[in-house]
Amino acid sequence: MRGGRFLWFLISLAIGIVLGLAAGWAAAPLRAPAGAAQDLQSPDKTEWVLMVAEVYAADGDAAAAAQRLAQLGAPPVLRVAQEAIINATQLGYTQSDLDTMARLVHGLQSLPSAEPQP
Amino acid sequence: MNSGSMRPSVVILAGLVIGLALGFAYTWFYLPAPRDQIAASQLPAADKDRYRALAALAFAANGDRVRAEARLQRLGEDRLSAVIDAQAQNAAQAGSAAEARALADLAAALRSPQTAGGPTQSLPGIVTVTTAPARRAVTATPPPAFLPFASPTPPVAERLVFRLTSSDAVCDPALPQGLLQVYVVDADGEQLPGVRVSVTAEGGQTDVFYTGLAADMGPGYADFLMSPQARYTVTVGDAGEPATGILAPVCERPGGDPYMGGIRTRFRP
Repeated sequence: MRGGRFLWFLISLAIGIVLGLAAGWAAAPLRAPAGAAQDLQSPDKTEWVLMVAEVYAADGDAAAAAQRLAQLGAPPVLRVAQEAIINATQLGYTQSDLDTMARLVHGLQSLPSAEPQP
Repeated sequence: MNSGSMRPSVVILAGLVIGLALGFAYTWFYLPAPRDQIAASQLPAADKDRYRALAALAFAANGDRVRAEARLQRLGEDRLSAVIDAQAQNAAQAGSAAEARALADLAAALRSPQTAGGPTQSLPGIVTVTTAPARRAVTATPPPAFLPFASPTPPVAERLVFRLTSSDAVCDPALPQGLLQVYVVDADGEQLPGVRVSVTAEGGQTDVFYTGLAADMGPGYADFLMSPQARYTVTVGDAGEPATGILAPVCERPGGDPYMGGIRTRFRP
């Protein structure tokens, strides 16, 4: 009989955990800020990075480029730019655009704060 | 407490409550729900401003109007040039001169009819500008090929030496008092948008603004409200000759009441 109660306890615990997970995820938007640049879908984020790369190509200011990329989210800006190149390849961007972004990545590597974290 | 003495409903309720707490705490602290991805058109206003500014700076870098327009269309906004004009004005007031100039140039480019050159031809490493430049050409020389990694050079209009060619008192009670109107034209008399105008008061305070931000007044127009009795120096472009001693005139209404009039100035290279 005691084993039966323990079994019911485990079952109800499992159900409670599932409900708790669902409730936590359901409540997530309530505590998260409204969608911002870091939540941009991949094509728009890639375009943002390309714009940063084009501006960097003209002014050569890697620090300013890093600042503009930082608006896209928490990961190191170097990783943001690298991911954008991967996405740009998949989205069919021209080789010229890829080169421009690659040079941005090269420029960002000169910034200590842009080093990707292990 | 001995669980063997507990009723089954209490055991189930305890399991549910503990499970709920564990599940909720786990998602809250360790496993937040993945956030939905949004389109550029869903960005909050501040991020849209950043996006527009970036598009303008990229346009200033590559002169590719078609691409700039396509980028801005991602924001899903109508009356693009008006929105960018307003942002340019805000940027100028905030002291972001480069951003204001880029936005003003982009707004002017969006207003002007597209040239027959078609979209920009992109080649690896070199982008050749085939669309209309942000500012109207002041010479017959076609825009040069743009090397992405060359050091930036100031736009043509900014390198011209603008001089004050006319300065007329304007006594129109319908206009704001002390209105300094600035018209900037090229050698052919065509109005030039996006040209930097700086106005320095006698006390030393300098205000900087750009032509082309008042769409209804023409692309080469800019204005400024002068204070009574203050003398101003106006400089157009980076290399312009300062026009000194500009002072709001005293006008008279039909009844004889004096009021502060305005000045209409014209600058050309």
